[in-house]
Amino acid sequence: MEPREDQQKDTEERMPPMTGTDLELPTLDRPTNKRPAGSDKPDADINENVTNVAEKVSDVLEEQTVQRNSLSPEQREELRLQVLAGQAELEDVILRYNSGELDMITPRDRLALIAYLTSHLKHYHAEDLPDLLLQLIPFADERSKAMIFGALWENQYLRRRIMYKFFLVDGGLDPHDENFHSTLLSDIQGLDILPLLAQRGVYKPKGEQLLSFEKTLLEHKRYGYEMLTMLIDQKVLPLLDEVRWDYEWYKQLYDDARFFRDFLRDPDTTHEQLVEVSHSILNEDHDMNAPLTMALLRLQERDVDSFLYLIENYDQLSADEIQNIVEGIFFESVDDDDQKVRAYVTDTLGAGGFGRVYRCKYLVSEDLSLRSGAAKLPHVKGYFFDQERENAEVVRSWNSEHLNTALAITQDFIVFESADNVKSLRRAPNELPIRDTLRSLIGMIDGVAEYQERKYVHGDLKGENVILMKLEDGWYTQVIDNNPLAVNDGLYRTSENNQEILKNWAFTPDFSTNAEQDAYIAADAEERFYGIDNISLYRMYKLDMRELFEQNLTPEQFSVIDNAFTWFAQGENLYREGAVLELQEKLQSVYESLPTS
Amino acid sequence: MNKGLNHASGCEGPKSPKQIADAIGDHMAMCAEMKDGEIVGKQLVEPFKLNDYKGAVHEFLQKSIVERLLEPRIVDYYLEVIERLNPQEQKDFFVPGFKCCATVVPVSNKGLPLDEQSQIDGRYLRFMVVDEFDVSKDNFSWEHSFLYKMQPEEIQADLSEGGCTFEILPTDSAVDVAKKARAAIGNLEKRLQ
Repeated sequence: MEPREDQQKDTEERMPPMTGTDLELPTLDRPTNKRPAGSDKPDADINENVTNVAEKVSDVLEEQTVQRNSLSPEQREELRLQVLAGQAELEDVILRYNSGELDMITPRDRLALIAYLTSHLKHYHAEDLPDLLLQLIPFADERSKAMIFGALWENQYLRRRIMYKFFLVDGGLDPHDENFHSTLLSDIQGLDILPLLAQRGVYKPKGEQLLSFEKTLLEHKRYGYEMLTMLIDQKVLPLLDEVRWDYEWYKQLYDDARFFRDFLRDPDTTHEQLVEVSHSILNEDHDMNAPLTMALLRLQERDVDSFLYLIENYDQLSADEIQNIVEGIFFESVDDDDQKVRAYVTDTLGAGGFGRVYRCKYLVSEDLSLRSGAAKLPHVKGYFFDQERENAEVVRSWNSEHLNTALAITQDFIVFESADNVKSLRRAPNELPIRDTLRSLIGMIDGVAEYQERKYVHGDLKGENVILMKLEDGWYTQVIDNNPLAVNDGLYRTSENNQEILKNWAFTPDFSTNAEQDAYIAADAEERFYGIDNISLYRMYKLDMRELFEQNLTPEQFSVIDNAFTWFAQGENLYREGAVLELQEKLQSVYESLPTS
Repeated sequence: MNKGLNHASGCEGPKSPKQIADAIGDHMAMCAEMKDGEIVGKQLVEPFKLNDYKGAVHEFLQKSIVERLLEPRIVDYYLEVIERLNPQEQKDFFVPGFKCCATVVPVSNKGLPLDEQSQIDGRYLRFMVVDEFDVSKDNFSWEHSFLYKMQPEEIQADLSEGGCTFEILPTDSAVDVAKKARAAIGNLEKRLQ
């Protein structure tokens, strides 16, 4: 699928993969000061793992250096001045420094070199630059260190992969620095560095710093609890009295989660026991010594909604879903009517530039009845999510059984229709009888017709965007990824140089209109917009389904279907109103002729 | 040297099947809480010992399933799904430059036994796609996690070393990925015997 703008941003921010020399965080040791006397190369200050990386990089650099001419004394001086002026070429600086040809020996020169290298950190993703900075950081003053920290922090990749090394170097960044410390605590990737440093003896917080560290860890629930447990067990940190209550609260929660997991491992007795205990709790004649009773009572105390939801619905929930409820893994938000919506999410059904989609059971307000759906959670809220919420409202107002519809639209996520057994039309044909596949195709056409009737375009029709849901009375077909674009809102725009017509919707090139077709439609979009989704439908047939029908139907049946699509693909049909329903009628005749089993 | 703990259940020495299932359930619960997809806490996990892991496979999967764990009916089905991926789907899941590990996870992401139908359908066979930070997702968990790092070292090892992990090259087609996955499953079968 062609990325939308929000997806493009996501892609741009992703760092390119690095190869070869990743360091295992847990195995890093605090470096000892073993710089050989008289050595001008401070890389001995860096722990061995880091040095290994630097050596590997240096090996490569040296190989390259051999191929370069050595610098004359005048050229060396010129390069030094270029660095001081911030005008040197980065690759040259790294190569010449590592080959010993860049003479930056005085404190002032070294600070200038550090400032120069730091200024390049933001957009530089190879490791030789941070490795060189690692060598130089013992010479950095406080201001330079703040600059280095800032540059590393700003770049997500460097923050995640490189930053911790700068704390492990003797004379490197100090995690106790107030600014560094508060910044590290502000983000979980930064926070995750501190336990590593604590285990290495580099981070020894005391007083307020220790308290804020432990408090911040526990704000991150299970991650923080387990990390703190590890540090306490390893006698790296004490558990402060100020956080003891929170810590014990989490401990109880996770002990209970384990208890329920054990309990659920024996499905034969699970429901029976839950019935008995739930009733006894509701009737207030429970046994205070029974572990299951106590665990349920604690759940009630922690989260009465989860408790009530569980005892109301346990007989219809899977073991995984019950476990999810007792672990308290849910999203919660409010809809436009200010009703609370809580979605207990289990499996991830998919992920992409938009965010993630989870299978969920959800409850609305005080209504404890069991509802199933697929919760779609954006990576970030903002313009695109607001637009998605609006689109979901539009599709919901159409009230179509052939379009996947939002069941709950909240400020933070949207719950769409779903079922326990869902297949995409791209996958299903290999698993379902051919009759069901044909019926799904016909059902999908109903969805396309809903769009066309209202003068809207789906724009991204393909097998993956059509789902088959198994409900009690059989399979249902729905079009998903509904982002309806109204024809009168403008389907196209022109590129800046007016050379190209650009689509205003997300699409998948293999299934979408080409430039010539776009030009034709754009010339009279009001009358020809039908072509956009019709062309996708035709491509889907050709690419994903034609062969299947040919192999699984009689030649006569196949010929009716293939002739119908050939007719549909004619220019006089493809772009006109009603053609899709005529196609559907032709397919329907074959469908009705197929045996039911 | 820091020893990962596989969460609070952890301790050095042999792990029982229940401890392994708890470690998986605890880890995945932690990851599920990190809803924005930013996963941290690699220090908290360590590879299971192969024998312990085999113990969990035997404990949590039915005997009849264990005996036919990687039978063609299961393996061919999943590999055909991979082979049929279109180029975009393939790139989206089997990200070029990442690693892929074929393995068996004998419990659900909640650390609970798979139900009978799931076992019959082979929903224990997972293809983990692993990024440069060892963060993985797989066919039954798009949730980012360090589940790959919890796999026995023998399974994490490269195909060429008899392991079950291979590089996904930018030039790999879906059929190439399926071929490597089949080789990885071949090694996996030997490892789990």
